Amino acid sequence: MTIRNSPVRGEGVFASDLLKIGLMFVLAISAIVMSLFIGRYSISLTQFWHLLAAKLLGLSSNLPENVEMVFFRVRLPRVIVAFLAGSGLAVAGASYQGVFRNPMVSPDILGATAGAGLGAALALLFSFSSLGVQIASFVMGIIAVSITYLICLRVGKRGNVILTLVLAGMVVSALFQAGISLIKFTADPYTKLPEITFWLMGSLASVKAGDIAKLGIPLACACLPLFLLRWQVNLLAFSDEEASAMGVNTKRIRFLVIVCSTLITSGVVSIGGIIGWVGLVMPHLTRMIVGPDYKVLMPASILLGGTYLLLVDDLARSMTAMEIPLGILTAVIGAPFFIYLLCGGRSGWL
Amino acid sequence: MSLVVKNLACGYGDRVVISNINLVVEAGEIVCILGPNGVGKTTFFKTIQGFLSPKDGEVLLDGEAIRAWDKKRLARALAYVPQTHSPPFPYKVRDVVVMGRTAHLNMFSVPGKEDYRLGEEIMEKLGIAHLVNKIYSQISGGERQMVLIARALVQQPKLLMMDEPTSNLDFGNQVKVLQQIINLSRENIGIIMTTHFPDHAFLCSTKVALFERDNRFTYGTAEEVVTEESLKAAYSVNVKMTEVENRHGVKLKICTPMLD
Repeated sequence: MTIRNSPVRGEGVFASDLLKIGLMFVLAISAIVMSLFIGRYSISLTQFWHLLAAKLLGLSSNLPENVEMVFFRVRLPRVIVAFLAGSGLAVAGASYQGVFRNPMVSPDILGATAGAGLGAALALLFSFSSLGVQIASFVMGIIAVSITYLICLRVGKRGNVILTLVLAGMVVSALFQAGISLIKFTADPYTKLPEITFWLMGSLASVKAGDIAKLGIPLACACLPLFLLRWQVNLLAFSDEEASAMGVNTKRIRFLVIVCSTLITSGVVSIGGIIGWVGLVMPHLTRMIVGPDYKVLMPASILLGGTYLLLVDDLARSMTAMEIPLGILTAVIGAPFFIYLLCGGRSGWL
Repeated sequence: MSLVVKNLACGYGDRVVISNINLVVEAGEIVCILGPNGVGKTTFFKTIQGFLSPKDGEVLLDGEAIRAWDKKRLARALAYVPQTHSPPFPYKVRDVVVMGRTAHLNMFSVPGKEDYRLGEEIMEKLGIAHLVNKIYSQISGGERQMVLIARALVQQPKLLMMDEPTSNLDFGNQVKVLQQIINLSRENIGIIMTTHFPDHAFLCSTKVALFERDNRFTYGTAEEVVTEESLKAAYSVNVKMTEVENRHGVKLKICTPMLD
């Protein structure tokens, strides 16, 4: 039988995906620009252009030093870090959901968040430098995930590997949470305890210009492989044997995706504390807009996740006179949204 | 193309489930595997696909042992059609079909327009072009089976392995799927499928392999292998064979179980 030439309807799909990604990109840029004007110290549009032009051309802006400092040392770094953290958490969440074939999982599963949290709490207790906090949270995050993985390898030789992994992740999370509580218990209640407690609530209030690189570099290193592997993640959403029969090296891809997602999670935790729900809710929302194909879902998660956390952080720093911890807001917004998803019972989406 | 299974023994760990399997699948042939539950049909499939290592013997594709092949090379030669299932995410039928192209992509790339075009051509050929934008988890079982066949075909394999392609389907869909299997074999694809219906062996198979308990294995044409005696031995049911004539005057055997 010869194959009949048919019109390629696929081209329309490419165009509509591009359009959606394009719109999200515009949305992201608008949110970034808008966020630069939000804050207690108001910066006018003219001042903004002066600052930008001066910086780009290497001239002096002739503006009060305060304006320059607020803009370049405080506001711009915070906006960029909020966007990066949101992108990272959304991509990590989407990736975890794909490789565990479970739309209910997030960076908190596998113990990644709790592990990174314990590492950072330890570092704060011993007054490490900010780089020390970052390294400690990376190391503990990876240790937590490795323990989860080892439990799974030992228990889950036969039977449901995915379920074993999720359960093991819950157990490891609980263990590391207990570790965090122990550190709080032993911490000096007048200095260390408030520091650790506030930090665990999740906040970007103390972000400095140097944090852009501290978060950006590990994020870029981990997001690039995830972005490149995005088609393979699609196949992992089917059973391992099927994916394997279609030519995917399932073990290698799953390992890579887990390592990269954990790196992202610990990176965000070490800069901003525990910012929950973003990694669970944003992949869902993005999937509702662009569909489940990781080819489009990965870039869309980067854009939407970043935009979302940036806007929530804007609320956190501008809603009341005193800043609200970001982690509290993401939970207050994320949990009801998730309940809405559950109640909606949109079969296929969940 | 020819797939040769030589003295193959399959099993898990130290346990050999079935041994001394010898069979050949040539291009354009359909080999049906019959046998009661738990005799090792699935184990046999997994061994050919390389998920289990053979306990003994070997599998040759065009004279070359496939044991050392990497997954990609294997996937370009041999496609697997699983029983229908539901993935956790609402993939479109188009996406599911194009996933079959993965064996032809490198690890870091995504399918391009040509891949989507091939997917749509194959769906058209199978008569399921109208499903292209439907959600895979929301179409009927029969449609899903056809989508999985389309996905296997975009792999452009030499051999198709089908795991009970007619199970869970209503009578009409069973016949449609069988007809497609026959059409595919006419395009020189070799097919090896498991089934629970001895009638299907007469309808479409070139050869039949009957797996029985206690490691017994019979291989030959449907006429030779599927008899009242062999079905009684394999399934412990009394069966009467009758003949009907199709519209080309060809006699076709059917099996009817005899109840008390």
